[in-house]
Amino acid sequence: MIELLQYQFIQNAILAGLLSAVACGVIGSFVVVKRMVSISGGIAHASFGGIGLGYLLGFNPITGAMTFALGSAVIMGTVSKKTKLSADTSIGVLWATGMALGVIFISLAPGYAPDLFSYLFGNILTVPRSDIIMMLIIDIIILLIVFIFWKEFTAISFDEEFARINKVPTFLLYLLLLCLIALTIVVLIRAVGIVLVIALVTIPAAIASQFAKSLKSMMILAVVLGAFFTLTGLWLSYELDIASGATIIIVSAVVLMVSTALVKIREKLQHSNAA
Amino acid sequence: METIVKLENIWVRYHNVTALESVDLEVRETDFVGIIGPNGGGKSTLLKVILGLVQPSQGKVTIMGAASGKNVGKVGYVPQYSSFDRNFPISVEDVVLMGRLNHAGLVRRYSKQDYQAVATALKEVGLLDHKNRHISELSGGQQQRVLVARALTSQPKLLLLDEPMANVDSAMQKEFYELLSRLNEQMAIIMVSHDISAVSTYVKQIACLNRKLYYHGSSKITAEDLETVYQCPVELIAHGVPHRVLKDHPSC
Repeated sequence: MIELLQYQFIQNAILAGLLSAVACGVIGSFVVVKRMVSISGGIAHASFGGIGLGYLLGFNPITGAMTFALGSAVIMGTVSKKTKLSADTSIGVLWATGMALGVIFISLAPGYAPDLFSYLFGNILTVPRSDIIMMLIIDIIILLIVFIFWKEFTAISFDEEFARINKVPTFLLYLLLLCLIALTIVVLIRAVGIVLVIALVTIPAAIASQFAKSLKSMMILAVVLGAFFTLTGLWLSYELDIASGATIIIVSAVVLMVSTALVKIREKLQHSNAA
Repeated sequence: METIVKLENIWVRYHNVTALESVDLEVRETDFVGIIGPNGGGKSTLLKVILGLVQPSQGKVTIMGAASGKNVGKVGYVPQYSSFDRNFPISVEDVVLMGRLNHAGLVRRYSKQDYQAVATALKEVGLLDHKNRHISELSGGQQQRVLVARALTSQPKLLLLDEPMANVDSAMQKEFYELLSRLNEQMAIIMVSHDISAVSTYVKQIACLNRKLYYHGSSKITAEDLETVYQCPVELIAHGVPHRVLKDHPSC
């Protein structure tokens, strides 16, 4: 186990796991309390169009994914708040349109698309140093913006209408929050892939929400859980020689089920004690 | 007596549906107006017009002499109970702090003054010793009082309450009305409810709303008004005294 840590790809994988945990813990908490799970799923899948465009035009697919994720975040946010189309509909349409564009771009690209599978399902063992640096920069941007707009993000998550009455620019802040979700998804694509990303955004925060009494403590707990899941998943996938992204998700899902059951049992016990 | 809110010939249309039709209302500084009417009758829309959240298609809203939206903080809003998630990870104090969002300003942290305003408001509603509790640990009635405290932090001249009794159990309702009565000494109050019986003796004026507003500036209401509003025969619970709602109800 210890000698494994000498390999650079293992070091990179551990760093990628920890950096993913920070983004998914902080932004995932907003996603869970403000019920933005499906719009986050939509942004993640729409980013596949950018991956395809990267293959077609020969630039880094992650750059393409970031552009498409940010673009679709702004479009979905605007369409769902400012037009008669429901959020549900606009999310569904962009979700599939982004995927469709990606498929067309890839089929137009000459030759074979290497690593395509790892963009879809993640491969934390192949994350290059350059992507680690990008993930670190994105994490810093996310933390900085959340720190600056802490009061406003909390307010629009708890009661958007009340914030609007108090002259908080709720629509712009909502778009900013969606853009942070888009950036989080870009950070997580390397670890768990586009298809599985939504689970890592929601599960650590969902478990944390069962115990946390404040948004801040929820975020800290979610980051710790996220780090535990990515590192445990990484280790298991290495030992058992199975896909890392999927292993991370399965570990998270199992812990979520166990914690939900424990919370339920605790409630029952308290109830019967009180009675 | 100073006029706090004046609505003149307000019309609100959503797409092709008329939600409010030619509504006139004047509320003065010591008024306590209960607005009753069926669900979908435009009660929430009326509050949103006063708050500046809904722009009327026609008509004029004046709040303390200025156009609506210009007097942020002068109107305190207590939304419907369902407007927030009871399991949201947040303390009582942090909820009430949100009443100071406009005062604190964008990006800035809450100041000492903001925390003092929160303490004063929590004391007013009798929940100062609960300030560090998580909101889910409070009863429905206490949660409702937290929302009142949030509205009070900006020292409003008018308090708007949307269905405030929906989640307050009957034993606590009297206490809640007494709180409103006390607040009414410092500010005007408009309370809307779909439940006629919820409008108690504490209310000074009663209006009926079903697209149109029927308002006589007193707490007396006629059976004809109610029948027009609810579009079905209504029996007044007045124990033999005609044209009164609950006025002579024995102390409940």
